[in-house]
Amino acid sequence: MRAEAGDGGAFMAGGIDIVNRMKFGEPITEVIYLVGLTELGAISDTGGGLRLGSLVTHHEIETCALVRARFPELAQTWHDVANIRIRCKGTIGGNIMAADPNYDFALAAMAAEAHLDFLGQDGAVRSVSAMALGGLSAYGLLTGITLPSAARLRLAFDRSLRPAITLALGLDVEDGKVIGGRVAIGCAFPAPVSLCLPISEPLSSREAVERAAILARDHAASLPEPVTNQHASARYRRQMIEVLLRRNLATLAERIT
Amino acid sequence: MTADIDITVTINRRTYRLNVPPNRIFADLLREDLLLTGCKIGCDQAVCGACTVLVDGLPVTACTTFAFELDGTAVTTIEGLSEEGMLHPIQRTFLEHSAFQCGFCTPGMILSVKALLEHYSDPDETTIRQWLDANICRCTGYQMIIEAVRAAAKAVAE
Amino acid sequence: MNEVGTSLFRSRVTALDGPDKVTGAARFTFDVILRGMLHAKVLRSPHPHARIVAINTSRAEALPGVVAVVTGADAIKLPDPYYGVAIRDQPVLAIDRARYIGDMIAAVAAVDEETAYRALALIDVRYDLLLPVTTIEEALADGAPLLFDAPAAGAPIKLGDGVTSLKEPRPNVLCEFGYAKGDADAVLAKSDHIFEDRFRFSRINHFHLEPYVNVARVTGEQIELWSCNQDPFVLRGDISRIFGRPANNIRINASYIGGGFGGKSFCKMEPLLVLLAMKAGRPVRLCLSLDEGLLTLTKHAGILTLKTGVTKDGRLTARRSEVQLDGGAYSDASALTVVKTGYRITGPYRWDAVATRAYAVRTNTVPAGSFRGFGGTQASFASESQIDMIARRLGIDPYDFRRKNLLAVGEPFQPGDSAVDSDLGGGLDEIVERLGYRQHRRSAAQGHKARGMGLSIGIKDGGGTANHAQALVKVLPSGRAIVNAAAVEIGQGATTALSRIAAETLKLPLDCVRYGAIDTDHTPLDNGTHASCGTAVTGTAVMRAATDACGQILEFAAEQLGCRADELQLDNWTVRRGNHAHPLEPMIVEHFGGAGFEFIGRGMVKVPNDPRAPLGAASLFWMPSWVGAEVEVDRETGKVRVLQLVVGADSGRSVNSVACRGQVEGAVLQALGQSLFEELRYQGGEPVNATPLDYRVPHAADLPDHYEAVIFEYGGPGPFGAKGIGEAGMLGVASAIANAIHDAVGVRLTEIPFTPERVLAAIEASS
Repeated sequence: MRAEAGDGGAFMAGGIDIVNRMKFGEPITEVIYLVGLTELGAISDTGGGLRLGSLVTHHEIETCALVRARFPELAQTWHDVANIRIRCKGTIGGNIMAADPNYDFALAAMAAEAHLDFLGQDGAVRSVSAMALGGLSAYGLLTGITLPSAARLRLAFDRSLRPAITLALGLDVEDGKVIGGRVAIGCAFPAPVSLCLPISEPLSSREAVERAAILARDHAASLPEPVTNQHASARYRRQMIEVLLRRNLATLAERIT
Repeated sequence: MTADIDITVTINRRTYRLNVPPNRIFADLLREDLLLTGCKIGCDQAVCGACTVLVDGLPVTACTTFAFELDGTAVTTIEGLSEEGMLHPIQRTFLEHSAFQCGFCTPGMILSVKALLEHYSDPDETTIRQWLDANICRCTGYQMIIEAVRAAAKAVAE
Repeated sequence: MNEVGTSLFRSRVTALDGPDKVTGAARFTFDVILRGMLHAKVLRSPHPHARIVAINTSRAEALPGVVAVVTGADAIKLPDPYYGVAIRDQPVLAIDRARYIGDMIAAVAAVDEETAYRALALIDVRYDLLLPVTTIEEALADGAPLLFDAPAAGAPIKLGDGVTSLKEPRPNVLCEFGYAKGDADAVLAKSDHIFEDRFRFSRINHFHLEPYVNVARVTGEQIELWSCNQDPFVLRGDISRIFGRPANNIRINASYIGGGFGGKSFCKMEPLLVLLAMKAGRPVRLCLSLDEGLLTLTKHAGILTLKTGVTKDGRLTARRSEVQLDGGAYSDASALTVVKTGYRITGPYRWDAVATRAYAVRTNTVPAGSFRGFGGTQASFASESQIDMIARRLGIDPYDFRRKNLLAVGEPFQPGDSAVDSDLGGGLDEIVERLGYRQHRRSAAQGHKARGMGLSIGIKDGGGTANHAQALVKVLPSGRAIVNAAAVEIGQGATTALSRIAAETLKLPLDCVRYGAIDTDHTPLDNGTHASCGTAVTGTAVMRAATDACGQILEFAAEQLGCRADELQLDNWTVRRGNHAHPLEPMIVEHFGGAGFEFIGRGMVKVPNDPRAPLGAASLFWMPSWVGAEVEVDRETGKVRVLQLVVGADSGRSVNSVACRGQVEGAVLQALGQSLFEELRYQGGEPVNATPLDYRVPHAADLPDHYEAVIFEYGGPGPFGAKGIGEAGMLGVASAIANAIHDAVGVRLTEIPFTPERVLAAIEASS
């Protein structure tokens, strides 16, 4: 259907993005309405991790018992994303496919190193790492997002300085030590940006806390130049990436036992 | 564009069978076709929440909802809150607490509050502020609205 | 309820417009529909400054469903195609030039909005780009491009003797106000200290949720408008002049207004709509989007430079001020704003000498005009910030410094003007108490967060200048009354306040009084719903009308009873003579029969002109705003959290205390938003965030943890001792927060908004 619709066609789930784009003059002539496809709205247990259908709403991320149990920081943060109207109608799939650097779910997916499943026009299913986000619509219809095992993953989010910067942090934990991680930054670049943390050897909780400042500094320095726009300058953003990363690294690492 | 779509939607407890163009916006249908003009359109882009209506109990901006999305749903507009001339407790507490000034945001605000009180029976101040983040009021400074909501929570519980 | 005082009106009442508003039954201009009505859209300039070389509308006119298209070629044929307050430089539609991004270039009337939008895309405009000037500095630079080739129509605002009021005194300067008392330079030269500081104020948009919406119908000789305008009679006068039509054949119909804040005062797009309706030959509705509203009017941004002298023990001596306001592309209400900013820059203090020059600069940006508290907001930010700065430099507590210099009750604001009528020191003491100012110790830097407290007293003259109003009160045979006055309900509570005044005067229950519909044929003239004059000015006219009606009622009863009117008393539609009660309705029915009789009382008020007063009339009342703020500043991110806001305002005697509280709280939150984040931002001539998604206004989550409005009742000149209060909350918030930030982290911000980045930059610069 999408291929038939050509350039004027678009997928529509919650419609938050689509209707606004149309009101601002985008010539969308066909809308492929996905809401009836209930299988895209499921949240299922993968035995440790979760598979979230692309039509899962933000409200469900906040309230679903399985999400709250496995990824409590995600559920808690999602209580504050946008507002109640948008959380009830907007979907995590729509949020990712909008490719808006100010939107939040892509950051969560990147920090968690999630995998995105796409149904291509050829009928084939492809799984893409969230870290490789870019040119997403080329892959087809996003059907689901798979989060890895919660036992090995700790997540933190900091949205206190939006719309200058938002930050999602994911730490990989094994035997009580931090073995790696990813930082995803929103609002500061033309697209959400994520980089792995420069962790070369397993760190105990205490070591990770002590190294937080250096890790943050090194990580921030390796990022591309942030944008300057009406919300903040590149300089301020680069400074704040370091400050928020240091704070959140220290806080998150401290809780690892 | 595809042909007009048949939809069945219950609005304020009355069922309508309608035939709508695919790109018909629900706010326009309410105001122009059904003369339910309590739904006011402010920003027209889902930011201000003035056009909030309840769809299956959840707050939604009518200005960015296509009519076809309402097929099979139950909608409440401000006109549907009072029953047989009796004001809903939320309307009563808004009056008692003067939780409005110009009134343009008020229908959407009251419906948003109705949804809040169906989710939380006794919301605290933080919960109310976060929920009402979805509704802009330029006149009141929100404080008296929040007081009306706390009073409404008690009234609804009774 | 936080009240300090004794109002006559102690009982809490339900707002009379309440039931309509909570049920969705309230009708706004937004809801007006006329049979056969067309829909209009406006083509706007994409360039900040350009000559319009040619406009071709033939393709648009040919589109099926398009009924009429108008351009400057139509506007220029009008008897007087310009409007503006005092200085009229804004054309009904751009004639030969576009002067800002958003300037109205053409308009289409079509069968529906979609067709009108499509038609806009078919209008071909050829522009010759001109160099824009987009800041005050650029506009005033030598050799800067000029926005206007020729002088505008109009005259400078007439003020009191000895006060300067100039029209277009210099290139790209719209108007100038000058005030002097004594010899400021001489007094400064003798002062122990002189401090010169510069402050920058930002532009925000009114963002009323009801968009600008009007419906116009021209049938033969008659022009009829359904308008969201706050000033129906001012609008009628302008339409009459612009179109050369007699005012008694122009009717303006008002409904509830969905928010105004001064944005819906004076001409905006109503003349354009009348022009279009004339050409279309059918009624036309023009409803702007909020996006367009952001490109229609803003509050004045500006640069205020204050040179203030003080003795070493902290007594203010003289102040020389230079106020430069960014008026944007067109006059609108800049002439008024210039006068008021200039006059209020001295704050609530006593001065030996004053010298003030204030002027509006023309730039290729959105026109700036009246915004709640205008002049007082800009002036209070600068003045109350500098007061704190001076206090700190002298090592004096800002509270003590203010107390030492405040005007006392009974002291004229300036020579020739009325005396201050609020206890400025008493109000400050109450705020200080509630804030916990005395208990506060500036916290040592705890980790990265620091707390601080700040005070401020904003002030403005209230009720307008030399204002006037008229009213009728009709009392029906059954003892029901209708108040006919043209203070339009914008949410400020005019409906209830004016009805309450009439009810109290007529000794009737409030639910027997209704506030009548407003249209300029039937409602008596009012000078406009602004300047917080509804209760004190229009209210006085209403009270006099009700009193007049009482007199007529008693005369009638006396005649029926064969006694003197002064032997009778009116109470709840009964006349009492000694111990006897005589219900009025039977008396009326008996005497008149038929449809009975209505007693129509008439009232008017005019604040006297006085050339000895600096503004040409003594100010009717004074509107202080006492603010106490507590903030927490994150030193590493610059983020400011407002922990406490305690704001006091003086209602005189509240006619409806709940409404007073609501007005203060609403204004304070608008001011809080502007202090911390709300701004219409420009990059050169291009507005960067002129759309609701990017133009952030305060939400419920922005409320401080503790937020308290205190309504003082120091008495005023209005009915039963009332004043006006609608603008008060705007005045002192920005400076109080700036002062609190300084208390917390020792840095002074002289530019709003206090974004995290700005605060951090100031912290880094100071260390």
